[in-house]
Amino acid sequence: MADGVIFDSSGALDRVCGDYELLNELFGMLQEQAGTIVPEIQDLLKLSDLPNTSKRAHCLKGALGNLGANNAKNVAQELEIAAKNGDSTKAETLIKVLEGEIETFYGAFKTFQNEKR
Amino acid sequence: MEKIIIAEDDPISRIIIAKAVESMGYMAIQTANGAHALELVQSNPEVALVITDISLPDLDGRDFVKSIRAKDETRALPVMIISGVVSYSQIIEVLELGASRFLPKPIDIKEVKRLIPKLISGDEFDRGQKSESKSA
Repeated sequence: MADGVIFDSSGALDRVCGDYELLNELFGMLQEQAGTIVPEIQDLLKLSDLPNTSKRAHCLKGALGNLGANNAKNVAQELEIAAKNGDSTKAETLIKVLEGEIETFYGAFKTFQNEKR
Repeated sequence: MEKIIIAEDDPISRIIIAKAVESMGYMAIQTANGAHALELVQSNPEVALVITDISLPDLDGRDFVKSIRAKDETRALPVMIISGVVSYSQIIEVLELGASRFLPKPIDIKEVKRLIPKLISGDEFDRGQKSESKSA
């Protein structure tokens, strides 16, 4: 599930052509996206709506991957697949894991920001 | 200035791709909507390349590629698909329909930048041009 890379800062910086300010802006956008999508997924799981759970996990996976949040991205991918396969028990476990991985990524990103100052 | 259309509903991905495109001296035209992207292709003869996600909210990437390949004026337009799909069958299908290249997410921006001039110049394998020459 997790490959041990909480935040691939060099990969994330490469993706924005080294533009640190843009990376910060995208990080803010990710926080907004995740702040909306994670509760949406929790609600969808309560309704047993696995197709839409899979779609929302897919969106979050893309955003996390682009920002170098590798562990969180991998969990989002597992959640997408579990929901696609109709495995609600696994999906309910994974959304909790994902919340934790996202928080861990936020912490790593903030440490990176402090180091850059 | 040559134009590149970026059709992507994820704003983070769209901004990342646009940044790369503009850094190479092309004009990036961004949209989150597949139908709008098709309109932009029709109304902008200077469009040199389309970069699109495989699943846009209003239009499936397969239908998008089919529409581009169906019209004489856009048949040879290169289309780069960038997506985080989990199914290889979807990737194969979209390539068979005529997409020029598929790249997975997270975006490998170096590969995107390497491929853009090649696809525009026709150096890189282009399924649209190939199918056109086959039918000629």
